[in-house]
Amino acid sequence: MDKQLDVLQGTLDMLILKAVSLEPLHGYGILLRIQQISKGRLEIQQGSLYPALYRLEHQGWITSEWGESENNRKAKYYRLTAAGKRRLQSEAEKWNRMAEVIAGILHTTPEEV
Amino acid sequence: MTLLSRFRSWLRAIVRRSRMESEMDMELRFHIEAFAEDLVRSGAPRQEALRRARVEFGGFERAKEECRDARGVNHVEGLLQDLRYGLRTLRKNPGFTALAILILGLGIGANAAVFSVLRAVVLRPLPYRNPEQLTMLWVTDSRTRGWAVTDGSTSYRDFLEWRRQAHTFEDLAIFYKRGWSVVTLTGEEPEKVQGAFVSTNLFTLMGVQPLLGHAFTEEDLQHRERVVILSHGLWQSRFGGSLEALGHDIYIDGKPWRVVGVMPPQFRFPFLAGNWENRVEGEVQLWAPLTTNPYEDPSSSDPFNLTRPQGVARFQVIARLNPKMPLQAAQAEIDTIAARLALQYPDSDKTLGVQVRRLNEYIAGEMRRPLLLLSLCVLLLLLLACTNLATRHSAATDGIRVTGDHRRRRRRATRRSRTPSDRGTLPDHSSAS
Repeated sequence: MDKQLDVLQGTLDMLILKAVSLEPLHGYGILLRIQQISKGRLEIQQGSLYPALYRLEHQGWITSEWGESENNRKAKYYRLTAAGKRRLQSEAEKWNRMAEVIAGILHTTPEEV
Repeated sequence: MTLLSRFRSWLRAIVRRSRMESEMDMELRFHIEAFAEDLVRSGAPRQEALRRARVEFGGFERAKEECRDARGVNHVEGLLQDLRYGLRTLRKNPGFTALAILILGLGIGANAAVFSVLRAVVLRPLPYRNPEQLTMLWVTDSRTRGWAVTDGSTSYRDFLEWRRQAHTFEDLAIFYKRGWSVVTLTGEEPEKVQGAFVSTNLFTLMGVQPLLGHAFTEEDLQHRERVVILSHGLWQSRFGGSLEALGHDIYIDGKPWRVVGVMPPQFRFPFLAGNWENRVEGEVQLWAPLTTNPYEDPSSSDPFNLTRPQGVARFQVIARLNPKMPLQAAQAEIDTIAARLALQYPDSDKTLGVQVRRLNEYIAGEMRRPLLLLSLCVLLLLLLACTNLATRHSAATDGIRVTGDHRRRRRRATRRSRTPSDRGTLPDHSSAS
């Protein structure tokens, strides 16, 4: 159970939206935040993070601006937009419904069939 | 809203391309350096930390390219690349280039040719006043059904009956086409031209007045004078476009005819020959009133049998519908008139019917459908030529596909093989708060 899980296809966007919904973060910060929340059990390919960020910004769900990092360097910070907030909500609902259904199926015992 | 933001980011990406590039570079670099600093903090030597950070980040350029893809910048970029690539191969391959130009030239040429005919015959409105009101009355004979012997012509008697009885039409006019040889006063070489005898109301009915002079008047008819109206083309070639042409005589079949008018250049009518004995190609260049005597014999004052009870069927009829009158109403009325005439003149009219056809359909006639079909065919031919070229092209360039997507994938593949694929792990931050 110590083994890291690859992020499921399509869930990276949701995780990014969640991470930046808590506070504005730069790309590296997003990576760390997801690691931190998942207690190191999720692995995100670092190279794949930025295309996802650019895509989300392109779709208008997050927006970016340049700011100062913790160690006084220029870094690009991402923030959730109103549309992104709605998107995150609907994605989360969809995910929970799906997880429930799948869990229900997987927990089915021979007696219940 | 998302569409707008998408467009804005795309536009920004295009316009501020270089700025975006440097920002992207800065952003990714910041990531790697921040990562390396964290590694240094957890005890790794600086050089080693930087190396590991780079390795774990994965393909730097590849990430950048995927970022550009995410923004949609690469569509324009890809198109430009394809263009440059295409030009390069064309330059390297003169044989293929010549073939491509030839095939595409033929394909485009065929399309242009067919479309210009289609435009002239089917699509362009006829150059008359309210052309949608104009119809031709086409006589059919049930004895010759299935035979193409009828030219749709009618007798003067029937024409007069239609004109008297029909109320769905504003007016009806007749014409009769024949070939003439023409000699002018200056004794030039005789020239064979197509002429038409028309009822005096024809020009008014079509809504086109002569450019010079006047249309035929009742006076012209009463005097049975030989008067003629010239086409713009004939006026130019025989009189050099001089105003003196009016009132001048031209000699037709040895007889002098007085020129009373010149039609405007775009006027053409009739289109199809309705006469058998004198089939002359070309457009009608002369118009004369029906009542003038075209023959040598001065005693024959009624050459077209206009006054005889049983006329010979040789006239074509053009009619203008009343405004907003549907074609079916006119057809129904002309059907009852034809039935009446069949009872009245059983000898000549028993088997005759009349079809009302719109003038534009009459002109395009049976050509309409084949023409549309033909233009579809040549369009397909051009498509086929394009496909053919594309396959030849990929064969000529040794299997390298033209599309940007394929090339990009190839580029990525080579790049990927150069970058180490072993993935490490991030420094553990889960315990840090």
